[in-house]
Amino acid sequence: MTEASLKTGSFYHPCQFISYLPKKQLLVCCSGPYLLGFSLATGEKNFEFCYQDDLQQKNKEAAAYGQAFRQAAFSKDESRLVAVSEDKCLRLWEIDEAAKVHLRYEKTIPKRCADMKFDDSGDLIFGDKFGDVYRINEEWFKSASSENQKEKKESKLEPIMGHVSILTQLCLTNDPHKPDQKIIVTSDRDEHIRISRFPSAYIIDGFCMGHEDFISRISLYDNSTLISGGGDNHVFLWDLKSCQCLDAFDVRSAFANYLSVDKPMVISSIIPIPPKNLIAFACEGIAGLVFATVSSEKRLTYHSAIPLAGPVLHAIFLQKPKERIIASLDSSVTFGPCFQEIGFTDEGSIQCVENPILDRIEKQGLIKTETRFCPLAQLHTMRKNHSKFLKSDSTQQPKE
Amino acid sequence: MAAEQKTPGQIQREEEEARKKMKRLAKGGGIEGRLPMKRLFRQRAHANVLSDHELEYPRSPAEMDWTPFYPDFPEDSGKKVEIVDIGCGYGGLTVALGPHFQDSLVLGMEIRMQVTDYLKEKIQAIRYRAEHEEPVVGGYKNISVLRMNCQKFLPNFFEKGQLTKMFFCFPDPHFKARKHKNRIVTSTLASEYAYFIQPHGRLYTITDVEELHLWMAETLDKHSLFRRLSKEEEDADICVALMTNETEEGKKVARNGGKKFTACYERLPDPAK
Repeated sequence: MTEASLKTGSFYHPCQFISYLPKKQLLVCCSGPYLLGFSLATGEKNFEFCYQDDLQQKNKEAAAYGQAFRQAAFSKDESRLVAVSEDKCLRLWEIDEAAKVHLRYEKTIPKRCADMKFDDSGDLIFGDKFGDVYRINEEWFKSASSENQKEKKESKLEPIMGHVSILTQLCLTNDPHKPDQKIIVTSDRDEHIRISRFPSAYIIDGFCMGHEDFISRISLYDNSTLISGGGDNHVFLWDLKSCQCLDAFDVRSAFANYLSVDKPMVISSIIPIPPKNLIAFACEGIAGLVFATVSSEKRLTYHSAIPLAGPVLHAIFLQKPKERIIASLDSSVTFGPCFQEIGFTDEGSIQCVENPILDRIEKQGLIKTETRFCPLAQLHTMRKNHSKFLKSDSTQQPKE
Repeated sequence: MAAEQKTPGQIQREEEEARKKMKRLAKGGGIEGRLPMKRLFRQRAHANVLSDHELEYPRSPAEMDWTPFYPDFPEDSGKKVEIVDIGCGYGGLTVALGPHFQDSLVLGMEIRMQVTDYLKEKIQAIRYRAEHEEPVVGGYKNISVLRMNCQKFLPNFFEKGQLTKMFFCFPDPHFKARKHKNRIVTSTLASEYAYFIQPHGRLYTITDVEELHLWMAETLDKHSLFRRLSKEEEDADICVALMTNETEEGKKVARNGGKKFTACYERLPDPAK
């Protein structure tokens, strides 16, 4: 079907999602059915959780698909870790002092999870692909074990808010009008970004309107500035106070060197780097990052682009112990590296850096395989059939 | 969204519309005050709100041009749409509201294309009649209809607190439990409606399905931004009488001797931060 499947060879299984716990210096990776934790200080593997032990014998992709871990979130005090898999199973681990994890609860949520975050009180807020947002705590996990049919009905979750669309991301932050209060920002497939109060999310403060296609990623630049990107050619910078657009940045032109003319683009990662006044963008299927400078008036200008060794699946910015970006690359296409570190020089330029620890994590920690365990989640499938960004010959899958 | 290349779907739809229009013209509907014939515009009563209809909508309310919708309404009045009839169907209520609120813009919204087309032509016809035959207060210049999906795209058309009245008349009951999410009044959508209704504005619901009535009333009773109107308040509100007696569905229910259930609410101001 694709070139990739014709080629043979082994590769380290790519990580669809990575997350970093700064206090524990723990890098958490969702690599197919594996949830892995590594110390970024030493490169040692802290934990490994495999969805199903006999997975190696299973070669049916469909069965494995549900077992793929899609996302992980950790509480502010870094004592709890939650990961969700494609089959809607939510698992809660306790992280101990030695950065080892202990599985506490697992429970299935009604619909597939789109995004989740811990709030300050330690409750988990998650949004699902049906558009609803729920707030749960450990009590909810506990109630899983003692269930009969009646209780199950009573403990039916009530959403705190919802979109009539596929929810794509959510962010929790301080209310820019009143810093001791919170707001929740949610984005959906129908071009809407909604700002609601939190926890009383039934009060909507505003909408940020301007996107022309689905929104795949939103991220906070600072307390009052939001960045959003998706299936259209621009990324937007929003003032959360007024819900007004501060700037629209033509990210397609910035990616021009990588994108073929007819291929529609999808923003797959937004990486705010406030200490450097930069924002980095990754685009689905593209082996590179684009950087834009944020001026003091909150305008975006093109800064630079750097090529990477493979399509970027996810990328995160680490502030400590040193400022750098770790990008997770799709090694199943390139048979190349899974991780790449990007650093900042004193002169203000951006470059790839060799990091023996990341190398060690990859070679000793990731799972070596000859086939992908499960298909990666694809963002471009959210595009509507009549989208104006979808040109006739771009309906084919991006060449793998 | 102007002057962009048309998708094959749009072209097909336009052709289809043109063909239907020819057919209708041949039968004499919609021109010079002749009312369109409803039987030419029949469409099944349900539409899946979760699927992507090829709807056209602006990127934001500021980009919406309302002049084609209210061509004869004084433009310098600076009025915005204030009264909306969600799921207006064949537009009985929308039309009835026009003369009662001649200074406000009334908009009917409907997702089914054929039904929207019917109402469009009907409004054209009654505007013509009001001008040339028997005058009507406001001349129906303040009413219009828009095809859209109200569960998804209200934020593209309206701003915070823009609306004074919102009507939900005889909505699709969606009996199956797993379809309850598709209902037009849910706790999560109520929050959105509250955003668009100004404080002390009103939200009206009416249905002939008791189960749905109880669901809507329970949902809105529980919502912190709405207060249920008392029976006296309902009786004193002309809109309640209009939606009970003037909607096409309301007339049908009355003909069949069915019951009608109303639940009306006042939008409470947001609690202070």
